[in-house]
Amino acid sequence: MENVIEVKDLTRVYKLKEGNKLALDHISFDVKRGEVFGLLGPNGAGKTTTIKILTTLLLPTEGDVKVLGYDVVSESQKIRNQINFVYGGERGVYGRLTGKEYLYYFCTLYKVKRKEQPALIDKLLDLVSLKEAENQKIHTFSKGMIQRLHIARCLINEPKILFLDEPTIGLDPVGARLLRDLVRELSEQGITVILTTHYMQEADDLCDRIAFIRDGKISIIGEPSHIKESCNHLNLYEAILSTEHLEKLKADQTFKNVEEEVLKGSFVHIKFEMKISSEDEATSYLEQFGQVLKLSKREISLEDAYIYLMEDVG
Amino acid sequence: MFWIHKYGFTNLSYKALYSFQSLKLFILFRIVDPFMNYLFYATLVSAMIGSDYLSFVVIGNIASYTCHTIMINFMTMFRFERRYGTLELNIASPSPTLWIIIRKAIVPLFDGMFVFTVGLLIGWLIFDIPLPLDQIGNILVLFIVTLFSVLAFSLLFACLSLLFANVNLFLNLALAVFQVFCGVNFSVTLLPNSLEFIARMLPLTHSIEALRSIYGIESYSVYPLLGKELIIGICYLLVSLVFATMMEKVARKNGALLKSV
Repeated sequence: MENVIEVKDLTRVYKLKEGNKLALDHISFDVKRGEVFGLLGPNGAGKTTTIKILTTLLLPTEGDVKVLGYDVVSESQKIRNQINFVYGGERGVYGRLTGKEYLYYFCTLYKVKRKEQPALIDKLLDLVSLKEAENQKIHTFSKGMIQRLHIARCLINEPKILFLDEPTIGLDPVGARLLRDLVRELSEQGITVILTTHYMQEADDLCDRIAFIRDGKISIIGEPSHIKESCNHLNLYEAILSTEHLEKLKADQTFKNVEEEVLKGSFVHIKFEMKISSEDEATSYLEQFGQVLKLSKREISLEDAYIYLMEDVG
Repeated sequence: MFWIHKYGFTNLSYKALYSFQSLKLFILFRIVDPFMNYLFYATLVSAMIGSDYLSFVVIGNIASYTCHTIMINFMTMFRFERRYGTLELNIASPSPTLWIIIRKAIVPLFDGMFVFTVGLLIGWLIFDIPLPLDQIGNILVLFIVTLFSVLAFSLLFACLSLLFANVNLFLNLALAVFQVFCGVNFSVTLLPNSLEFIARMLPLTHSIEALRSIYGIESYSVYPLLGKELIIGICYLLVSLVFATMMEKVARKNGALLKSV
């Protein structure tokens, strides 16, 4: 498949009063047409900087970045017509306008012919389920409605690539699900989607490929299943045990990333990682802290892979 | 006409970003406030050198207040764009940045027209400065030329606002310079030669002289003055064209478009 984004040795340095900050350190990746590509990483890793550069709002310090074959530095106008973006949160709207007016405003900016505007806006409002609220002022919208309005806005120019920077941040589960369904629908229509999110399940569900960014560098890139496979050497367990020594267990260095859920009385459901690979040996070791009722290895999730790969990032 | 279309860019820009949305605010800030401003200078001048000089000062201040209105409100729109996080959405659209800036200027331009007209009426009705009805054509030409040159100058600040989160510091400085150097309260011929040269590079200076001449307060030829004002406006517009591209590039380089206020 054809590459619609080509990033080679991209570096971005911010000049700050306290010195230079290296936000991106020679990262390289490609995105293919129609892919949903996830950029994941902790805050400050460089995800948003990457998106700002790809959307032509920020210039790279070094490196070659091409979007749809055009250079982001010298051919930004050619790119802008064919992409669009949504940044999470409630900014980026004019609170005094109604949803419909807001879309009209951007229709003009995106040079949609006046005659075509009403039909397009109706279609977009329908798509994001905001038809009933079209004449409501945006300052009365919920976070979810604002995010859906952003999605409607970013489809005005029928973009070939959509950049979604944490689109589900702060949304309730229903709102987040609605937005994920929308992203899936857009991807099925052949739109390439670049997504950043902190929600691993969301990335696992939506993305064809994922890049983990850490300290401005890509630590791993691939399909979610491959990323999880790359962590197959991890021994992840879940167990139910009756214990009075949970704190002692948590303090034991053999166990890593312990998550516990007290079921009833002394009964606890725990998830953990340890170096012991045999279930029998793991059970024996765990028995020194209490009675093991059940122990099994569990499948590696994207979140497990993320935690492992980002382990010592503040 | 695009500017009165319900869903037109200009009307929506007004609704989305303009400070004065109610009749009460409009009366307060577009009639009462300029009146108080003219009254202040008229009283000051009358007390110091007598009422003969009153019309000279009021006419100068009408032009100056119109210029302030256009520049301040134009810049406020860009400040709000940053505050709402919409500046980057505008810039990232395929519309050229200068086109966006110029179209956003239409509302402050109309606002300026209103302030100017009300100012002349205040001068006539309150300060007894007779409106030269036989010179309405000249006033109209002056009006268009002045708005053009002030707007062209304001575009420089609009371009600067791509780079700086808050351009008010520069704007306030420029307005203070206008008040002193454009001959609002005294003739620029009273300035030392070097300062007069600077004054004549600014918009408004020639317009104020032309307006006073139309009113018969000064005795210059109106059209040569307006010609100079037009040339100054064109120069600022050309600089703005270059400036817009340059500022956008610098803003993209240092990430200034993404800073909020």
